Amino acid sequence: MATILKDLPELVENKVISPQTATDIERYYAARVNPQNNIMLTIFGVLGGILVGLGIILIFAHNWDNFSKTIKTGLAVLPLFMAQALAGYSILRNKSSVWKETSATLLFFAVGASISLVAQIYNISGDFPAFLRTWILLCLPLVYVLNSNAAAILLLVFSTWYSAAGGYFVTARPYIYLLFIAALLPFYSRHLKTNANSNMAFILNWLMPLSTIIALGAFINGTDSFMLAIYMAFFGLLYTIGAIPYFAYLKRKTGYLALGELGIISILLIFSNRPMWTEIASHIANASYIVLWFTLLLLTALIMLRYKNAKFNAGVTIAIYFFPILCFIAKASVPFATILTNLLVLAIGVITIRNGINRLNFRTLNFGLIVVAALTAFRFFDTDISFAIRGSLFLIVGIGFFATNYIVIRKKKEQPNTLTHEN
Amino acid sequence: MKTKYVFIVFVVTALIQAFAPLKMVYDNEMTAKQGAVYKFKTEPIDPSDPFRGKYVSLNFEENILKVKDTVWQSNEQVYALLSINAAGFANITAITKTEPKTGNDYIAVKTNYYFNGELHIELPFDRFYMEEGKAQEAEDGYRDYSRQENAKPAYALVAVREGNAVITDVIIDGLPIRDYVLRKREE
Repeated sequence: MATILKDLPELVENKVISPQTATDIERYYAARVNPQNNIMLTIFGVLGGILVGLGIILIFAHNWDNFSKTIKTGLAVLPLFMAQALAGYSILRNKSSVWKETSATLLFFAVGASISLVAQIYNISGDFPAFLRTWILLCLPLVYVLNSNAAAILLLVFSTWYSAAGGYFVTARPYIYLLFIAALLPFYSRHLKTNANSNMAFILNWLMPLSTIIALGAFINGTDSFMLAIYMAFFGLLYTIGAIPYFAYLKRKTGYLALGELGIISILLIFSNRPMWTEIASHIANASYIVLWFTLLLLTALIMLRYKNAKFNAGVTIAIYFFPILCFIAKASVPFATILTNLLVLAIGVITIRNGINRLNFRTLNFGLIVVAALTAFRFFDTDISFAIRGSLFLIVGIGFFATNYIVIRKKKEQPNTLTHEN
Repeated sequence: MKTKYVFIVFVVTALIQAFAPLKMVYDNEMTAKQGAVYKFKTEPIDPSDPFRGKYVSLNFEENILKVKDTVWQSNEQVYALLSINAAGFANITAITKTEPKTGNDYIAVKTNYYFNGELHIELPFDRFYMEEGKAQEAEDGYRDYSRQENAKPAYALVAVREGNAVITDVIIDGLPIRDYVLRKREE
C-alpha cells in the first residue's frame, strides 16, 4: 500500500492516472486504515477498562480504617458516576465504538465495585451468587444501549460464573441464568445475521455452547451418573446444531460442533469402563430428569429431520441415539453394555480415521487415531484382559498411527491440488 | 431521534444502577443509626473475598435452635424473634414463618437444615470486613486470647430494625476488634 502512495506523483506526472484519481486513491487508503486502527484501539480500550475496573475493586478491598463511613461510601459510588457520565457522553455524541466499548467495560466493573464496597462498609454478608446476580441484572442493558461486544462477553462469562456458583455446590437451581442467556440472544443473533464470519460471531459461537455446557451441570447436579447420560444428550444437541449447514459452512469451526463431538467421545470413553455402567444401571433417576433427557434427544432428532441435507458424522449420530438404548441394555446386562460401548468408540475412531484418509485431512485422521489410542489406554488398566492381548492392541494402534499418516502423506503428494475439507 | 431513545433507556439503566448501592446504604444506615443493639456471642475466623477484601468470618452460637414441629425446608426465609438473656447476650426465643407485626425485635434469617429436633439457621451477618492484614491478626489474637483462663466471650454488636440487621462492631476482651489488634501490636 505504502509503495502505491509513494508512486502516485510519478504516475500523475507521466499521465498514467489523473490527479483526481490520485486523490481518490489516497482517500481510499486513508479511510481503509481506520477500521484496522479502531479494532486495535477498541481492544486496548477494553483491556484498559478491565484492568482499571479490577484495580479499583482491589484497591478499595484493602479497606482503610482511617476513612470514615461517609468517605468510603462516596468512594464506592464515585467510579460508578464517572463511568456513567462517560457512557452517557458516548451515547449522546454518538462516539465511535472505541468510546462505547471502553465505557461499557468501565461501567460494568464500576457497578460491581459499588455494590461490593457498600456490602463491605455495612458488613452485608455472603451469598456470592446473589451478588453476581444483582451485578449482571444491573448491567444487561449496557449490551444494547452501548451496542457493546465487550459487555456481552463479560456478561456471558459472569452469567456462567453465576450458574456455577449458584448451582454446583448448593441445592438451589440458578434459573435466572436462563433469563440472562435469553437477554443476550437477540444480540447474538444480530451478529450472526449481519456477519456470521466476523470475529465477534466466532467468539460467541464458542462462548455460547461453552457457557451452556458449564451451566447445565448446575441444573442437574445431584443426579449422580445419570448426569453423564443427560450431558451425552446435550452434547448430541450441540453437535447437531453445529452440523446444520448454517454453522457448518462458516469459515471457522464453531464450538457447537467441536465441543459437541469432543463431549460425546469423552463420555463414551468414560463409559467404556464397566463400573460406570454398573452405577448407572442401579441408579433410579427422578422423573423430571428423564423428561429433560428425552426432550434433549427429541430436539436433536427434530433438528436432524429438519436438516436432512446436513452432513452428520455417522459414528457420532449413532452414538447419540444408541447411548439411551445402551442405558436400557445395562439394566439387563452390564458386561454386554460395556462391550457394545467399546465397539462403538472403536467404530467412531475407525470411521473418523477413514474420513481423514479419504479427505486427506491430518486433523481428522489424528483425531480418530487419538480416540482409538485413548480407548486402548483405558483398556491397558483392565486387569482382566491378558497381557499378550493388551500388548498386541498397543502394537496395532501404534503401527496404525504411522501407517495411516504415511498413506495420507503419500496421497497428498500424488494429488497436490486437492483441497482439504473440515468435517 | 434514535440516539435520544437509546439515551433515555441508558439514563433509566444508570438510575437503577445508582439506586441499587444507594438503597443498600440507606437501609443499613437507618438500621445502624436507629436500630436496637444486641450482643451476639461469636468466634472470629479469617477468610477473604475476591471483590470485597478481608473479613473475619463470625461463627455464632445462636444459630442452632430447638424446635418442636418438623416442617422446615432448607433455604427458607423465616424470622427470628430476639430477647436478651441474663448475661446480657442476644437470645433467639422463637422462629416464625410470617413476619411479626409489632412487639419484639426480629431479624429475617434463612433456614439451613433441620435435624433431630434442631433447626440450623444462617444469621444474615456472618462477616465483619477489616483492613487487609488486620483480619488475620484479629483471628490469631482471638485464638490466643480464647485459650486463656477466664477469657471473656467475644461478641458482635448488631443493630436491628424492622427485620434488617447490621453488624456495627466486634468486641474482644471488652475492646472493638480494631483496637484489640492495635493493642496486640503494641504488646
